Amino acid sequence: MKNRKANYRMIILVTLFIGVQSLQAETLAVILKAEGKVTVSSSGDNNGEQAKRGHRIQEGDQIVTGENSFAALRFIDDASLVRIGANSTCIINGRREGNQIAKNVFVEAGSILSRITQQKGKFQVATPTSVASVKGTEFITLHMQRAMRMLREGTYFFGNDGLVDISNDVGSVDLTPGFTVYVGGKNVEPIKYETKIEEIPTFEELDEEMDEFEMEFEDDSGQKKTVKFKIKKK
Amino acid sequence: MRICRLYLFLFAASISGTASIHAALLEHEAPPDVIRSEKALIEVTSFEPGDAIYDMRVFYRHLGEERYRSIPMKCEGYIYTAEIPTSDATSGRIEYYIAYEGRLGSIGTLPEVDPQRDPYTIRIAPAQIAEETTDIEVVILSPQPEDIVPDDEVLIAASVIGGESKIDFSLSKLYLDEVDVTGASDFSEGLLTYVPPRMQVGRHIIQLQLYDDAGELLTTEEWAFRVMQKDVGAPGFNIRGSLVVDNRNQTFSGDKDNYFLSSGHLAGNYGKLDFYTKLLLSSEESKDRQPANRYTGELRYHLTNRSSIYLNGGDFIPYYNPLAFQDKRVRGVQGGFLLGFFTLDFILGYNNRAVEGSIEVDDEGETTQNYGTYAEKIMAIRPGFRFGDNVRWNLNLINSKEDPGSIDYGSSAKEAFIIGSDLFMNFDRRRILLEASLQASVKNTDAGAPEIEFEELKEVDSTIVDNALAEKAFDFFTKTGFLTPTTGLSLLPSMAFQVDLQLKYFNNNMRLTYLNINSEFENPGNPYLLKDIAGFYFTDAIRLFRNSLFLNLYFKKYVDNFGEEAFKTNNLQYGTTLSFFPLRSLPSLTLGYDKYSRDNGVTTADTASGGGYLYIEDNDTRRLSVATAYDIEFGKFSNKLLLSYADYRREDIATPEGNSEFNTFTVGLRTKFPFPLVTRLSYMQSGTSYGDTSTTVTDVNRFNMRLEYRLKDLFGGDMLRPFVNLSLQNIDYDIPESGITKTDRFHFAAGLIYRTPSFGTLTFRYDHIKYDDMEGDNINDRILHARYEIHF
Repeated sequence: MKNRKANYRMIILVTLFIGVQSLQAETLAVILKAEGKVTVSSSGDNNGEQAKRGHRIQEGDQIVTGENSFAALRFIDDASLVRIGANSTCIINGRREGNQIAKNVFVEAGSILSRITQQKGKFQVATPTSVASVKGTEFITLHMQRAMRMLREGTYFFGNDGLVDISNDVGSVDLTPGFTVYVGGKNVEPIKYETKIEEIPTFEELDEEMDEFEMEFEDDSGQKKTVKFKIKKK
Repeated sequence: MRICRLYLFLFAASISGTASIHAALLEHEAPPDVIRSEKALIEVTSFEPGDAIYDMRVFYRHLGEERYRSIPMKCEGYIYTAEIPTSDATSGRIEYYIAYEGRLGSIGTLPEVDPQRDPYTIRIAPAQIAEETTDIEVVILSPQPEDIVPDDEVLIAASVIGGESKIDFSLSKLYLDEVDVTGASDFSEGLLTYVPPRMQVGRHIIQLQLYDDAGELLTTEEWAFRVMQKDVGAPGFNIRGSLVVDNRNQTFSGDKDNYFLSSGHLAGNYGKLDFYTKLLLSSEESKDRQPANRYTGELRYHLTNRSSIYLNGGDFIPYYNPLAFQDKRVRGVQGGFLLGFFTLDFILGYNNRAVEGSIEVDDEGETTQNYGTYAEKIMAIRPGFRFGDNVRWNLNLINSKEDPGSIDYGSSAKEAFIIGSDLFMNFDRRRILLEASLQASVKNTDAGAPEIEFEELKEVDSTIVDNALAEKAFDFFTKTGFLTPTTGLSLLPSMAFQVDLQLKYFNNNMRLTYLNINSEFENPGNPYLLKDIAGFYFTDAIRLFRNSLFLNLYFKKYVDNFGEEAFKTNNLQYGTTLSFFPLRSLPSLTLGYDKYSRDNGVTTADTASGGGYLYIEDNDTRRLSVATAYDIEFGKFSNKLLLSYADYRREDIATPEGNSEFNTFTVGLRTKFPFPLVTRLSYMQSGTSYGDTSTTVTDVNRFNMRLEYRLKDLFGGDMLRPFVNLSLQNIDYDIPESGITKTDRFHFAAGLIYRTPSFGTLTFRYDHIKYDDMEGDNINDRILHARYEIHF
């Protein structure tokens, strides 16, 4: 009888083990940095855990940053970078398509900086008001749940580099460097205007001035390589 | 029964040269030839695991090198394993031996006799350089090449988004500054992540090696980044760890035993504080042997980017230099600091703990004493100076003392005092490396004897008569208490000196070494050090034609056994290998030739004139080898064929009875099937003949088979790896006047490894070993082994 009970227990344990394994979602990105209060919760789970370096982000994971906090992550297919500013909430979605990931970052509130340099697969940033589709660029998304200071309620897209298509139910507009697209709601046509510096949200490291220098190295076989160093100025 | 088995193995070892066993009942067979970039798996089977082994290491070097590198062997139940990397083995041959500390602290080796001069050999067939596998793309996620990262924010991350099905992440390796950190990294779902503890400021190099499920290197990704000191910010907390539970149940010669081991470690950092702790508990722990349980705790606090203080407690293995401290476990405390250009290290602990001996009285009243091991205290202090990153200069003082009162039954208690210095310099971006060490030791070989005055010592030791320096030394050791003034005290120091110069210019990697280690040199910090040897070593590896051709040259000229003039032996060894690494469409090829001569200068006249203890040594050994590897595709079956042949001839000029010939032929085939099955088949045939007119002939036939199947993603990111190994060996001995004797050996192993990304790895293995002893009895041994391991 004891053996039979032990067998049942073993079967239950193995079943649970298999069940847990099969529930594992696919990894889309990895957290590079998490400063302050940054929580990650999986889809359908309200109890987030504090994010750490190396945390694997899976389909549907929600990332929430607190006051004076921020996080940075990279997608694993093309190393696209997403920096998430303080007091932000976003959900990371993606779908594997061969060697690529069709990426979608839903910004529920707050600000993110997206830097896509070697794009593979689609990269979209969605907000409650609009969708930004990217083709090799760097831009900032800021979604205001309510008006604050000089910013109104709605979504701001700040173009830094490249081209981004901003669209919603009623229209679309191209975001180009030096310009801002503001979307007041999903039924409000996007408005494009020249970027006002004071409206751009700040991201750690983004604002730090960089200095660069190059050094030439020669390897054992005599081949020369140039290495570029980036130095942060205090 | 065991005596018969021991005799069988010793017999096989002495004749075939492919198997060996030490009195501790260890068995080891040199692995079959390996294709470059595959790992050479070294396995030692312990037939009495509860009895003998305390710490085991493999010492290996590439052909022509003087210095052996050491890697610890992992104890996996009754089997000790280590993997020798072969990626940079362009010389076509790796030499190695195995050394271990026995239960009582004694040192044993495989081969038993002269292991450093006459080591085992693995022939490395040149691999065809794999064409760039275009569908495998490594995406570097963090740090990006040449990024500058704060010292406490380093995350190493890379992904393989295409062709990951070809990669076996369980075989792949991650190196950080040439240190293998795979064990602490997370390799799953096409993503690698590794969070290192706080890193030193400066440039660091990451190397990621991706292997396929056949163990073949597919691609290597290497990149560099810089670490800077973080200015401000709240401290972050990072922690990694592991847990291992291991159990084996075995039946050897009818005796049933069960052994259990568990270990765990935690490593991480909080702000500027790094910590590491490890606990290992073994069912082998007993007061009758050296500790099997291990406890380690380490703390290091970083004051600045170049300054830190540290404290280690429990079991640790310090490293000073090969002549002072290397590969020796100490139980105690180690502390020190690095403050700018000044460094200090201090060790206080025990090399060995006391293990009582015994006395036996037989029926006739005769007594036999079995010596135990004295508790041995060790103290070391090492101040040092750093001049930038290019020069390090250290001094060291080491004092070891066996406590004669720690046990009742022991031989003479020993003490040693070592003082020395070492220097390390690198210039021109490490193209010039210079490493030198000079040590002097003074010892007492009978510290338990009654204490005496200097005048009494002079009566025992005539070498110190009229030596004012010896008297000062006597006073120094007496006053400081470093050595006890007894009749066993030898005041004249024994010296050890070694200098290495490495130059990397014009596609050459050249190393010159000179060493001189006196036979009486005493070193409790490196029990494996080869003594009584002095000479010059040169080796050069030259890369030609865009790394498709490697030429290795080496030359060694040294004397050994020079501690006693009558046994002093001159050694001369030189050789070359040429390796051709073409593209996939052509076979690769390695050719090797070398010659080794030994001559002790003793003549027949010397032996006849009363030197009965003298023997003549005058012999030449010539070795020729050729190896080739070729990739053959049969439809969806991917094959790698390996052929090798080696011929050794030893001519004994003094005694022709010592002439011998040895040749070995190996054919191997590795096949990757279109489904995830990899098979490895190898057949080795060797023949050895000893003697001049009356010849002893030994023929060895060995067949190995390994089947391995890999089932991936059964439940998401997991892998099930069942395997079967079969080894059949037949040895025929044809001994003059005794006739032919045959022995057979059969070793079957089967098991499975189940690895999950989140819940660790579970391993089961069953071994069945069957063989005939010399009396014709069949011996059946069985082992069942289970292991669970998780890293977090």
